[in-house]
Amino acid sequence: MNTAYLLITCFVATSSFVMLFDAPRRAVVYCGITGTLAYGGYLAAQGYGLSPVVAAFLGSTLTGAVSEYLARRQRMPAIVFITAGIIPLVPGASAYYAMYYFSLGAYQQAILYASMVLYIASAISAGLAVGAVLRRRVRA
Amino acid sequence: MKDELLRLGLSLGEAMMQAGAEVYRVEDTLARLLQKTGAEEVQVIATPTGIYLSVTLQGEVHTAVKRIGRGSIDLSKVCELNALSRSVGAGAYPSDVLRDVKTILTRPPEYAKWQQSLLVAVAGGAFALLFGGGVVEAFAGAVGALLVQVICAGLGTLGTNRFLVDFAGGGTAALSALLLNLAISHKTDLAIIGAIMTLVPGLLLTNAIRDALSGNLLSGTSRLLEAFFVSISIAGGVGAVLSLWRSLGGLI
Repeated sequence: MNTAYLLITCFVATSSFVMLFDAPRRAVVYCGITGTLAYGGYLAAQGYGLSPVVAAFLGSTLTGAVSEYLARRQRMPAIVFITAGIIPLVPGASAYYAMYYFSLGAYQQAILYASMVLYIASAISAGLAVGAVLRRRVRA
Repeated sequence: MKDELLRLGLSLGEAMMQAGAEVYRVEDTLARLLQKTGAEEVQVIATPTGIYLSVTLQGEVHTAVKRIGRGSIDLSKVCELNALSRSVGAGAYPSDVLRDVKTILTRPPEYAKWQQSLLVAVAGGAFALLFGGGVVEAFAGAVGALLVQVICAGLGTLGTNRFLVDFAGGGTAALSALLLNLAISHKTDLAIIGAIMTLVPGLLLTNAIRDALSGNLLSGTSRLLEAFFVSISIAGGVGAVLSLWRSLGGLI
């Protein structure tokens, strides 16, 4: 129940987010699906006890793969779907808590969260890279 | 003929770059389109801040350069311009294609202003829910996101520096949640997170990675740096407001 609620919220959040970037109307539902799948993968990985960093990596790899598939199916640039996919993985909360603890003067906590932001952002980038490489393998 | 080819190439390249396309897509699209419209050979280097284009016509090389300013991200335009370059038949006249490009560029945005405002509020609220908020946090996040959009759009039309706009956006997100907390008690952290998620440079990061991977190291690194600075600006705005609020004796 809780997971279903999170996934539905994620669908709404990602599809409205890509519409802010003027995503084409016929792509919006697929963008929402990409985001939901990525977040679902992220949640599942964390459910198996993996760290948020590894979970974000798996989520963004999934994003890359799904986006390349959708790009070919819908004849649209993959970035439309990728942008949607990585949004729920972006460490917005960690970035906030880093600033929160900085403002408290609790630098140890702040650094902890700030490094989490860096790790997760790097994991997302690495996942996208893997996704793109896979696609090139398939095409060649 | 050569002027028209160069003009077509530069307008199309500028439009795609501003709308948020990756470098390899811009370069591919230009090469494909200009070859269809009569160029014998096309050499193009696109970067986020400028585009260099050479076309060979009857053995002569013609070159033009264009500085690219900041535009607003528009994925529909990327899709349409990309589709146009594929649908143009070989032997088309550059001036005709340029007219088609102009039609796409002058088309009204996919979503009207009021729809955009509604969407940003929905996105802000949904992100607040996603990070564990309840109805009140979703409401506060929606209000925050809406205010952020108003402030950022206002500063944008004044031609303010991008990083300053994002700094103001982060500050607005924090301030609106803190002020709203005085009237309706809620978890300010979740409302702020919801609102700043609408500012996150997701497309910029995606493009940075894809550019670097496709061998366009110049724009890959510069976009990565931009994404980093944008994130720092947003966080800095939030942090500044939080510190100021605390030093004025407010509770967070």
